[in-house]
Amino acid sequence: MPNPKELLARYQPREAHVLRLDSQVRSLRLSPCGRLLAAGDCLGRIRRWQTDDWAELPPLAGHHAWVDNLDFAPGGERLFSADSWGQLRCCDYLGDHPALRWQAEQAHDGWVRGLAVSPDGKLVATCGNDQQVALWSAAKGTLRHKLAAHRVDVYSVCFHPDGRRLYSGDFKGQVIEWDAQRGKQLRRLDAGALFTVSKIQEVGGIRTLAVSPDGATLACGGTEPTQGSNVRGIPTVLLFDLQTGKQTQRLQYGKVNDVFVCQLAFHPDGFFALVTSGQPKQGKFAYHFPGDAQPFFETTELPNCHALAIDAPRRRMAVAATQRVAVAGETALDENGNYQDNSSPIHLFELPDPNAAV
Amino acid sequence: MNYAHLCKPWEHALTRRQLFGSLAGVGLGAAGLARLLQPAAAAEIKARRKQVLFIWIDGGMSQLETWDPKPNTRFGGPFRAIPTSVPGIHISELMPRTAQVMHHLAIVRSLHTQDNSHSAGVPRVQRGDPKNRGVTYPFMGSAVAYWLGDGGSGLPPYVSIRPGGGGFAHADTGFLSPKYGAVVFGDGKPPANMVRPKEISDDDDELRNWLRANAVERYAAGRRPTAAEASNYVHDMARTLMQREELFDTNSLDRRDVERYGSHQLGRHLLQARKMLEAGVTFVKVSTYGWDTHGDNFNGHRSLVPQLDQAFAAVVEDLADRGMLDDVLVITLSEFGRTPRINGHVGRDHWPNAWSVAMAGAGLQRGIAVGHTNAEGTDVASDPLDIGHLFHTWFHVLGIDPTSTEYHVNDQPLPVAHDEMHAIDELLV
Repeated sequence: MPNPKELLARYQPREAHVLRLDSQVRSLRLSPCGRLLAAGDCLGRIRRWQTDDWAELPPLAGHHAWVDNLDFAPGGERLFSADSWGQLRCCDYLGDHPALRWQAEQAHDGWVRGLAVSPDGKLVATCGNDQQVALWSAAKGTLRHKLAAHRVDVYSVCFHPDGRRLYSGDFKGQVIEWDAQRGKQLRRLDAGALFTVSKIQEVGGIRTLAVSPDGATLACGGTEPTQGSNVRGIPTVLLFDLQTGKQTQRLQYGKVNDVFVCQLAFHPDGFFALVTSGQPKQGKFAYHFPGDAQPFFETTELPNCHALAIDAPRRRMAVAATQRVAVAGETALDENGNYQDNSSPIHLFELPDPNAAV
Repeated sequence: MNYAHLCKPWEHALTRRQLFGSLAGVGLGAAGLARLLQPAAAAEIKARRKQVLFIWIDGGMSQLETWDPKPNTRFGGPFRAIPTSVPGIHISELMPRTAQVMHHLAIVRSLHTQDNSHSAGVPRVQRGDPKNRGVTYPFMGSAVAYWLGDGGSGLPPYVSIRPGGGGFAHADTGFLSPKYGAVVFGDGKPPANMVRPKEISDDDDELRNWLRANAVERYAAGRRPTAAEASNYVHDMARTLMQREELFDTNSLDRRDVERYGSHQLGRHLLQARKMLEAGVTFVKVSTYGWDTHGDNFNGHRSLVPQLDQAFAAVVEDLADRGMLDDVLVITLSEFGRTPRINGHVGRDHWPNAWSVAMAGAGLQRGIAVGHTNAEGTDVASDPLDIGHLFHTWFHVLGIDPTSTEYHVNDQPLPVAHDEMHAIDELLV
């Protein structure tokens, strides 16, 4: 294993550009073809930027409220998206007016919390506040399976790299491993440390799930909550060995004001990148190799990081945060007397050229 | 006879020591405390028997995730709005059961109050935020206990059911006598030592009460009458409570009710509140804490609101089914609402500018939403209403005419509610 200095020489992100938005976004993805950055916002839109010059294209409309989930078909020109009113859509994603391929208006009853496309691009998995996991044909949008084994809101889904297994993680920290083809439950893993009851409020949940590229490790991200209401907790990732089903590591990224690991994603080279968000202005962007005690890179320069996207072949990453200087005061108005919103600048990073790094 | 088994003063931690200490410390009827202006007015008020269920949601419940949703707007958040039993009125999808009883409810969506802090905002709202005249007004519970009394039930006219420990909330009384404070049942449990030990026979109990009364009478001889009044009052109240053990007996609850209200804390407390109202308690306050969702507001309200939805809808339905809703005023209230703007912790902050309150019963209009905010919920778009308007309205339907009823403090007449505000006509039948 290279030493930290070598790792940083290979992977340390350098901020190359910032997209300054006028509103907040909830989700972020870079297309496999490298040409597009997509972000789901709070007004039912998918905003899009060309990656060559970061010019913004017309947003894709048709969703409602929060577009919390996006994923691209690997190798194909399809974008899958889901919103907090339960709708799932599949559309083309390039050009000014890309076509809608199919939609499921009520894929879930209410908030769709997670979405993932299988490695072969044939299946789309979703999960939501209706306590269900669903598997859809990516080509036509036909429902293959509705999986109803969770008893609470299901927050996250991801596929195993082999495409045969699916993982879903819920509000109380339970992970279910599924046979994705047959829709059968295989086993459960316990990430209950990511949940608690504080006074009368239930707090926590598996906010993000990912499997390592070698298929050996499942990473569950969330918080070890200490308090509800104005939520506090320690951002935490639990790693599980998928052969034994046992938890192998508990990784923590800060203190109780740092709160949530909002998203994590594995880089093909085996480490995972993660972003955290907690009390206003608390946020972290880090890289960590499973098995290591500490991340080999982290920065707290970005406040309240909510979403992360990786384009490994092009050595790019994107992080959506909250603006550095929050709107001052609860009633702050702009110069025209209008009530001001916060915004989500998207920070675009380049990773070093491995040839140049040597 | 050996009286060694008789209780010692320190054994009655709540029933005597705290109550008597509270009352004796200030003294009933001491100079500066209120007295009725007009006995005839008082008699008239007490003849019209009204009660109150006051649900206090501490921390600031979000109006955008409950009574005044703005779905699919900039600040609307992830949730949908759902239709209710009243065509044209929609509330948050987090309240499906309450949506079915909307025809019993009145919502005010144009509340604009003055304080965005918990520490000052809570008492201001609960006192009706009257004009500052250098006196401390009573909380609504104490005020109603004062004007309406115990209705002949003998039970404390003002009780509070809340998490944590019990006691006596004399600070609620403001310039009123501490007698009008709240008897607090921590987690709905009875006061300590409420059950008479079986070693004490009826004769012994009678004797010890005779001894106590005798001692108080001797103490009071040559002193102000109120010195004895305080002690006798709390003992009489305690004895009445001791005879009403069933009010705290959870084993006697209908299992179907427990299921309908929910076995969570708010469900249990509102079911007990219903029992208290059925027993004749004048003012029952149920408090729920933990609603200050500066962070993770949406998941927080997803966890909290369904508990309120379930229990609130159940109690409204039950009061209506029992024919009690005509005489019981039901109020849900916080110290403020929550900001439209979503902060970096995906939370909402304090917002007294434009928020909502829901109520039912006691002669209020039903199935109505009064006032409105703008499309994004960032401002009141109709005439703003303050908590003083609500206090005028509530006192009015309770038979306490806020335009003519007054306190007297040091012979200074004081209005019961903010004298520059008025009852909300649209809410009155």
